[in-house]
Amino acid sequence: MTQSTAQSLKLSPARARWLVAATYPALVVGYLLDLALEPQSGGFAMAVAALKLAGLVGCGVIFLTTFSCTANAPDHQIDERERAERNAAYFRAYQVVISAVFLLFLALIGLRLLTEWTPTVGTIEELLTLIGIGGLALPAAILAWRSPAEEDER
Amino acid sequence: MTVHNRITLFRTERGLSRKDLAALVGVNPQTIGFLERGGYSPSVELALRLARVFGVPLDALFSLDPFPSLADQLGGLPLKPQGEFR
Repeated sequence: MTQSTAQSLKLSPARARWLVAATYPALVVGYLLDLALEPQSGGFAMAVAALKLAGLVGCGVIFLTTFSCTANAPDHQIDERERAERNAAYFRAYQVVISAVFLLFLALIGLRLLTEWTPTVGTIEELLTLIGIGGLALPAAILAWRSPAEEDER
Repeated sequence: MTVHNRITLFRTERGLSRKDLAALVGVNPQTIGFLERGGYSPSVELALRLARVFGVPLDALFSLDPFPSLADQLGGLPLKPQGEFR
């Protein structure tokens, strides 16, 4: 075990899955509601802000877990199974991020053609933040999601 | 294609924990668990290291076909003569 792994947050696979299951929906729904409805004040605006914050904090926590250490470990620090899983997680994360960027691109073109709506720089920044923050923690989230329920070390 | 193995059998017979075996072949103990459950097929290098640790040929430890159960194998053996009963 590497020093960085020893210092990182160790979550059980079940807890890590709960974290992933709560984080990503909160992040995506929070950002999309904010962009679509643009709540200015009141309870709904607070709820949307709380969702976004929960998603961002969740991504930060995922990034601090041992799953993130494995996801970002160099080859010599992990064994062949972990390398295979890390590579598969990165490949899946790459597919998701590229798909999200492509869908965003198509959606912006579609909206411009249909409604003549042009996104502001702020809107683009928000969307890129969503994809960037979500994509940064995604390999670790995929590893956490795919880890077996409980691993006893007899 | 699934690679079947007898790692659990050999490991328990030799009184090794997963941690012990993992240390002997240089992998994470979780990887031994994955191998035993058939959740991961090892590289040729790791398979050879495992066979060396147990001191058995590779095909005694790994197979492309399921291994027959120990009970079936023992059941197929001819019975030893028990001696005459007087």
